[in-house]
Amino acid sequence: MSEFLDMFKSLSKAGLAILFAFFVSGILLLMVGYDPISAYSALFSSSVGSIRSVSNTLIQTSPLLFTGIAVAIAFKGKMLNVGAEGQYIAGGVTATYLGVILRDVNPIILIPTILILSGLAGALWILVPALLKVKLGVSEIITTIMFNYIAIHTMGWLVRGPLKDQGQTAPQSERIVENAFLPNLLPGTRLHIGIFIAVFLAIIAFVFLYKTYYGYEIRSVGFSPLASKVAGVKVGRTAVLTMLISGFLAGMGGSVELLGVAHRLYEGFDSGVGYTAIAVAILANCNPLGVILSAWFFGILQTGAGAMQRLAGISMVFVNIIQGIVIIFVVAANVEKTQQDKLGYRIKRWLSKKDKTISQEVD
Amino acid sequence: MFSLTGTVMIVDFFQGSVRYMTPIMLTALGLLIAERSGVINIGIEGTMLVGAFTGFAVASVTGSLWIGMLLAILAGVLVNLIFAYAVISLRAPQVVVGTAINILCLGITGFLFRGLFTGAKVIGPVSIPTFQKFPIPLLSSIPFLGEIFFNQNIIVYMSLVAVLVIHYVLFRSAVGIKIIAVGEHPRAAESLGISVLKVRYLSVMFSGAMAGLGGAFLTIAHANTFVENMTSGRGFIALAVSIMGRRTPIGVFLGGLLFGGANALQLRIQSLGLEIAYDLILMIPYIFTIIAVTIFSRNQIDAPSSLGVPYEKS
Amino acid sequence: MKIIEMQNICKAFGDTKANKDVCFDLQKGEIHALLGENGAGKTTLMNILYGLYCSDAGQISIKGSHRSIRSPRDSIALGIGMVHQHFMLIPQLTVTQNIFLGLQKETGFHLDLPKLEKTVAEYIRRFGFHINPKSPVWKLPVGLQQKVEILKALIRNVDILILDEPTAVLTPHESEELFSSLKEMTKEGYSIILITHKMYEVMEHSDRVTVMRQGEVVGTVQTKETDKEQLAAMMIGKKLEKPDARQNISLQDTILSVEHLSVKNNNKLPAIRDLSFHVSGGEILGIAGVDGNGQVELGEALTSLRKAESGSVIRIKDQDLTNADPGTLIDIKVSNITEDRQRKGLVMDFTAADNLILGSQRKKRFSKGVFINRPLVNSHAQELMESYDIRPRKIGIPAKSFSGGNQQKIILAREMTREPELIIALQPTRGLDIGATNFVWNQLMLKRNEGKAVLLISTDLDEIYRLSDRIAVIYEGRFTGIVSPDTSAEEIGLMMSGVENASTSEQGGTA
Repeated sequence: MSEFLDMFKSLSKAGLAILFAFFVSGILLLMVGYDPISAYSALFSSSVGSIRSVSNTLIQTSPLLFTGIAVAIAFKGKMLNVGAEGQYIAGGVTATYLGVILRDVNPIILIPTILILSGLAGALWILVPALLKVKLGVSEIITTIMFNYIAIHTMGWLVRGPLKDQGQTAPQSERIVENAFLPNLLPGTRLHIGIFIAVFLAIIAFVFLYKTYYGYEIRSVGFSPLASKVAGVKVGRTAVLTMLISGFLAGMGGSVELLGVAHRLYEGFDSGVGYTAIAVAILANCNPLGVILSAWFFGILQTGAGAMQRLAGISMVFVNIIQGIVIIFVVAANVEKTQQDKLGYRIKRWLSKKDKTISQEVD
Repeated sequence: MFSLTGTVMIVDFFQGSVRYMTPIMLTALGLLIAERSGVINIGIEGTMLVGAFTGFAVASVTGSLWIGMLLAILAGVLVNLIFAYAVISLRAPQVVVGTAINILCLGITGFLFRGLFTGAKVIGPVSIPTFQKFPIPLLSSIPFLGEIFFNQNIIVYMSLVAVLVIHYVLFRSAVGIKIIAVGEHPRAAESLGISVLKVRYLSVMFSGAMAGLGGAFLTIAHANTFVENMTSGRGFIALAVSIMGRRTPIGVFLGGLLFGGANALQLRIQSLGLEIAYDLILMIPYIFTIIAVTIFSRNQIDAPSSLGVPYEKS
Repeated sequence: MKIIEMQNICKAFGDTKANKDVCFDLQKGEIHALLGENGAGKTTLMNILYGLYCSDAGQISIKGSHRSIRSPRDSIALGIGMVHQHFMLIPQLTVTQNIFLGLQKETGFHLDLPKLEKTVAEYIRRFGFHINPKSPVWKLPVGLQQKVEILKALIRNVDILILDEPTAVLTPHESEELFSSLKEMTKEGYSIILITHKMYEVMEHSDRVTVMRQGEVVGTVQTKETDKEQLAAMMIGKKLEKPDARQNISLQDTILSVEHLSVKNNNKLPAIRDLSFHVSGGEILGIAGVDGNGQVELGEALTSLRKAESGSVIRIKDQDLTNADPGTLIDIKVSNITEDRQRKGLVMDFTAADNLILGSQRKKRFSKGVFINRPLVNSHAQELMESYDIRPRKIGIPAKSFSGGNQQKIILAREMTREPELIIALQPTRGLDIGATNFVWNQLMLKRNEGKAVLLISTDLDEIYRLSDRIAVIYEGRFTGIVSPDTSAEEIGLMMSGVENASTSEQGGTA
């Protein structure tokens, strides 16, 4: 019950934040001399205006959805995984390697094998930060960011070295075999079944988090490790499990992108998706079902960004302004009411203090 | 025995690494102050980017690199003020706000650059002059070191001076021990009449100023224009340098040299066309950082006790 | 000469009145002890004097003139310094840096450390301390850290010093040193307020003593003209009646037996020293004692939240459970009512329903496979909220939205429905109103009457008297005796202050 009420609340908050962000960004557009109406219509018509644009949006949505759920689950357990980027790369690299070497395997076996092994690679990529956090108390924020860079440079090395396509001058890997391509969903578009897998996983993640005792324990540890320990929950084990699940999902996201769209590995394959994932998760208040909507919203923005650049000459990164404002406002709205009250109280007290000082001077 | 060309190459190499590390070191020097006061800010990447853009834009419009630098510093302070309000006053989660700031700043700078400096209507030229090398008399003639440290531009010198000044302020002044106290034991600081919120606000704003300057280096003292997302992770590297340097200015200086050296080395390898995996060299500083945080966080006297924990007045 | 006079001080926190019309005065050059049980309002009163709290009503005169003290800054300016029970030192900074922290006006921006260290060294010499002013504070033993705290106050030119439970963290030797320093200081004209609950400190080292109980001053007497018995009686009040619900039942088998248990506190000092006792089914063993004598550590060791040091054995129903997993304890039906319900007892952001199954979420009765059986959990919650009268009766709102009493009822409902063989209850009624308190008491008594074992650890002597079949008194991690509840309050008060009970009748029990 309560999770649906929560969802409704955060949905309405998110909606307001989005409207507000569009409004503020619109003013910014005006100030720099663009026409907001035509800019926004370019944004939406190219992302939701036709079958083709809807499918483009869904292609953009699916990596955000995987990494978004990954971050959401981690944050529910208060594990601040800022390393979805690296785990995503680990998945993409694994998928590339397997997709290149496994030449004559039936897709029905090949694709699930690659997806699962890539997920495990993602989990492996977070294992060290997870163990350092649980065993030695090392901040996972720092270590996961560092592992992002290690992943980026490993990928750079691989596409220039061991995995390089010798037939090409550009640093990129060989193309994976066609057997490993994710099946197309809509002829005439590049839409692949990845989005289905992602939505399915979001639902599984929701059920896992709210309907199973594992999820119960993850949330319990996230809210209060001490009370959980008193109640016999194995706190360290739960924390590691949370991180591994998170890494698994991000890793699988990387492989879905590779098998579905990229088909080969290249530098910049990750394109910041792991950081955007944090925004995706926060907008959905870390609820996996909400992440479906929020990933879709971010997908719309990223798809529309290209059209805005082409049609209105507005930089693609303009949509980041909308994203940033949305997140800041959602966070501000989620701040505990008591804290807001205290702020008001502090201001009042400060004002009354001033009065007192004055009256004392009169005395 | 070095051959003449060998010596020149080595000097070049170190000169390059000093130039590379300057923006990172400036930013890390600010970060260490903010972290000492108890605030961790992964949004610093965005702050740097805003500094880089502002420095460029103002220099382009006014024609003055100095005004550009000054306003870049102010812009950095402003960005961090937003961050500070959210995480210190509202006590919002620091990682989330930091991420949002990064996304927002990437958007704003890219958008404004394209909107105001390219296309039909521009408000200033897209390329600007940069601060030139300014050898310091006497010092620059010291063998090796002179060429490496004292034949650089003005902002490099500022960063070197900043190391010493911040070292002095942090460890030898009344203000420094206040900052340390607020990060370690905010309640104790409050009991001595120190305002925890004020110290944290000022520390985060100072860090914004340094990141603004660090970012501006990229445009007004290095490249002669702005490029979208041109910081490309330098803020995160600064975060690593600050931790690796154990949040001390001298440590940050040495950590910065390691990162700068790794980067200059890979550039060198690249330009020589050697068959060495220079990506793996770039990885080394990050691995060092992980080892450093691991060792130092086991040693409980290292990270400020209240780092990342919002302070609630009783 | 009265240098401090506090008149009719009132202070309330929500509904609890921490200070009711309190009057207190301090003479120049005396050591004035402020004695009372935990929660009597001593620290609140002193925090008002030091400017950490603002009083609701009342007046304070310092050195003859009315003053309003709004912050520690004000009180320091008036010459009042306070040494808190939990030190306010920055471990990374040196002694000198700690002492001059926040004194920018005096030191200037630049810290001339050699000069400041010389100043500190002079103070150290003057008061006969042995501290290196250059040493980082984390390297100092606790006793010296406390002296740094005192120096911090002295260097701010205070002449009135408040010490809150100063010997709580000290070894006996360090305590003696401290008191001889304090005595020296009074000769130099300093005046000292000593907040304490340790009777012998009062008798040995104070000139006058003010006793507080339940937020009120019971009286102020000259130490020379009083004795321990009188002070204990003032501190504790008179003995109260027992509840009616007690039934006479025969003792069952031993459920919990503790042998030679030793436990350390957070500062790695011994908190429980070689303690042995047992609890049988059908009895409540009450452990009385002033706060801070090892009760929390004992409770935590028994519930596996704190490591028992070697050579100690905890057995529950003949199963050795020393340092067992907390989950194992729940499995063999040990219920735990912790002293900190908001941090240890509840997940405050979970709903009431979820909190009511906390710890049992994997049990067959609440799960189907890995799934939580939500309809069952909800109906279970509904039932418990009815039978334990938890209000509001909303199973879907978070625990933090309930009042303290109802939060405790949620914990109680959860722990009781585990059908425990042993209940370990720490401060189960702290902060509760009378209705909720009675409810908790009756529940504990009910379990006892059903033949279960109850270990009640409480600083509330009234509670101990009402419920216990045997009373153990804990002092500095040891029992000063295990006595029958017919023992007089005066006698128990003495045991609480560390006096061994010679006529301990039931030592070790006889079941």
